[in-house]
Amino acid sequence: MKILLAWFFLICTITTFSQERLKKIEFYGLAKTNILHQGLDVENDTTNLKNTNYGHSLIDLGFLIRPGANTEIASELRIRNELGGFWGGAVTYGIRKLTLKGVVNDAIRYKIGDINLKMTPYTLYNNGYQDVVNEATVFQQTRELIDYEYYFEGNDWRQQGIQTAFGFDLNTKNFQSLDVNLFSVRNKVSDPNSATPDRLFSGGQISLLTALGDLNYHSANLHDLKNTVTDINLYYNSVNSVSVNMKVDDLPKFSLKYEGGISTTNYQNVQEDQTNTFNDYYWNIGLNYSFNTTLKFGLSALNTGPQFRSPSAQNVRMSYSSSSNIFPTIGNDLAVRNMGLGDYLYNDVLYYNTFDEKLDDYNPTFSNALPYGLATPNRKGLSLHIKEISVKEILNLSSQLYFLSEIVGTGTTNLKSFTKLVTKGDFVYKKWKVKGGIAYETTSREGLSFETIDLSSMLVDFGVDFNLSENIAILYGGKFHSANGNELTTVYDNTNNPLYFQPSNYNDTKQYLHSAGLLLSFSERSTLTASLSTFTQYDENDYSVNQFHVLYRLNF
Amino acid sequence: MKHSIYIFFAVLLLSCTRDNPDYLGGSLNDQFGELVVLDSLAPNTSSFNFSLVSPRFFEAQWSKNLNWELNIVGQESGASKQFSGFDNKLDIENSSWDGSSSDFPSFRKESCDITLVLIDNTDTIQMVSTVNLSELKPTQDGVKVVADFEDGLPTNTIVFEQSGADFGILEGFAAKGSSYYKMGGYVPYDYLLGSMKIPVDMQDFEGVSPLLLYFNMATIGGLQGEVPDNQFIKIVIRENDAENISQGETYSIEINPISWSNWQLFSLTYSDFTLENVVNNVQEPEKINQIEILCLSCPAESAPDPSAPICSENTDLIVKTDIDFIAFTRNESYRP
Repeated sequence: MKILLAWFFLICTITTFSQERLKKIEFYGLAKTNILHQGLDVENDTTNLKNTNYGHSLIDLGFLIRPGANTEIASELRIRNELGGFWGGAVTYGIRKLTLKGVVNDAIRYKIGDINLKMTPYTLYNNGYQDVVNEATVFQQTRELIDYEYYFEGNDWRQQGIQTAFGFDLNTKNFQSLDVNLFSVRNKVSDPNSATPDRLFSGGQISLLTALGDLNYHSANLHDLKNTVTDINLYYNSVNSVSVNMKVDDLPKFSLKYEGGISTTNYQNVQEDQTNTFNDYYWNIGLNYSFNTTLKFGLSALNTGPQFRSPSAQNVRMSYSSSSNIFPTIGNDLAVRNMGLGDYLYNDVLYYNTFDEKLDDYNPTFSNALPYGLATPNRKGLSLHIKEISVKEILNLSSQLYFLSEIVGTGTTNLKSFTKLVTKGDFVYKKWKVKGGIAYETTSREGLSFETIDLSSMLVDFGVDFNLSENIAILYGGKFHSANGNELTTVYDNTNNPLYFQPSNYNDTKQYLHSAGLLLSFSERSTLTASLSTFTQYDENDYSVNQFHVLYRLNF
Repeated sequence: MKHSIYIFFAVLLLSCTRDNPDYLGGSLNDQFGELVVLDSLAPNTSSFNFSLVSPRFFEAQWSKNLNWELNIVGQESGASKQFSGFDNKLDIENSSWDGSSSDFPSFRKESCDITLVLIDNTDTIQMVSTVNLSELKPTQDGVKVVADFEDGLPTNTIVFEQSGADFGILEGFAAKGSSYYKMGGYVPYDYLLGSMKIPVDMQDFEGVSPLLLYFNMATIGGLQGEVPDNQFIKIVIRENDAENISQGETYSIEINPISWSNWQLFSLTYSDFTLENVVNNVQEPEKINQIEILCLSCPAESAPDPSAPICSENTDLIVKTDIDFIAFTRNESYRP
């Protein structure tokens, strides 16, 4: 007890001392230069341009201003210059971030401005990339830039508004503490021309820590504000859920997880005074087993209703069906070039950096079992997780296996069945670091010839790093994707109900992305990556793109 | 407490139910299935007797829901009736027929050609059949026929014709029955070619709202280029709420222009008529005692009012604004 008291006193002293010396103004930032040269290699094409060159430099200068001990203003200014844009002609400026945060009465924390929000995969969750399993370092360098540019921090959503958090120590035998986190953000700005009203996203979570585990209530509400324009349609969605993480007393190696909730969605036609309402629910219950600290299993059952609507959790991070302005057409017949793994990493593709009421388009060859994450509507089934296998701290493995099906058939009473296997591995030994992962999915449905679905797809990541010295590493990365079969992709109406079905056929399509490069670390905060890559697509129109990429980053 | 939580979640899971449809979205069979005729087109009986209270409809069945059109055409009258829908069969629900036509002319006792067109994304299938009309539909409830010209002009009708006008009852291609009234001619010196005043007794319509009293009339013009583009009809309704009829409250409306060359039903509520001569400014259907139909067109040469426009392009064009079957109905338009 004395030791604990001494440690507590020491921490308090250090904290107090640090606060006194806390600077009023601090600067931080990031500088980067990105140079990319790409060449298109396609047979019998005398029409399209074959080379493109691109580059930019930018500096994000951040300020931390502390007017008082309990208040902090964070702001980031950006200066960006396209390479070749002399005399300031291609220079752009902007503010990337503006946040005010502080503590009131040492009890209530608040944030105003740019804030990051996340709750559960069913309520508020920014689903991750579908073209990533366990990416090589050479690709991660670029991926981190995409995350930074689009504010993707884990599974958080970047929004603008206000957030507050406070808690209570209950200190009873059964109840230990109660934490409250509330937010309200402006999700959409009104536009009188299209009669689009202002839209707010409000909610929060209340967490009760008990002797058995934690009990949480989550609420996410997306709703239009009346009379911000001449209203024609008003949208309202509310998701309320309860989640529990409990230990099982008699079985100490087991723990129970549960999340369940309901959604209500209203589509109101103001002029005709009509409202369409959709209600549904979901649940996800699972049992975790920890054999020891290096081996953990989990088994879950899930059921997400066909009318369950959760816009802030049912989303796709990137439009895998969008087109690129880099080599937009190929062949003398100017066929639209199908994008692929290379474009997703290096070119101008459409990222969804906020959410709306409409279910995004998705590419069934990248994710058909759970295209909108765990909150994908109309799914039921089981999942088995090998959460962690660690062998002597040099090999780490994890795996997820899903057996799912639709709850209600789409266009037919026959149900689609899905299997999804995701396996990842990391191996670190001396100067070697090897990463790998595979995601394999199948979709099937029996029935009449026009109802039959048989689709399989696979995504493989592989990477090797070899550290020549402390400052120099040789990198290799490979990505492979294949798809074979057919699918009838659902086209949704304005209320996210299936309307009709778009046939898609994949005749053993394949794409490869190989990249080799050098990583030079000038310091802990300064790196230069130079890589040569080849992206090859075997699809309706075969082609290759060869590229040279230089990326310099400096954090300060 | 632990067991209470387990029980709570067990109850929560077991209590969840949904009312799900058979499937979501449009049927795949409708979108991609093959279009096959399962039962051919046929009337439910070989002869339709509309004087009897019994169902008369058409039957057919095919393999998928799609847009269909059913067209019935009288072989003698040229009358037609259309049905359409999105189904995979014809039955009493979607093709029940009361003997009316979609517009004038009305059907006669005749044989009718029936055509069913099924339109798929890729295919179009047409089926044909015939049906005999042994008896016509009874007169619609609540119809007050003002004039049908089958037995001449109504009693005490006053016809006014300018020199050059050509009015009179004709036999043949009538909107209903076999006779109609010809209104036309060539009067290049005045807007008015002539008029017809028909007395009417509307005492049975006491208390009927002007919003629910329908004035119905069949009209036909001529082919473009053969008749003036600006020929029209004016309808004047007079009420007997003054000492003499010329001083009674008057309401009017124009059908301008008469630009079609097939019989068409013109049906308007009394409340659509515009007040022309005021007595008490109240539309009283039971006081209607005269209908006047005026045939008008822009004159080709001169007009009594020097300031009125002249239409030289109407030179030698014969006005044709023929009419048939003038009737009042209550609550709904006349069904030809």
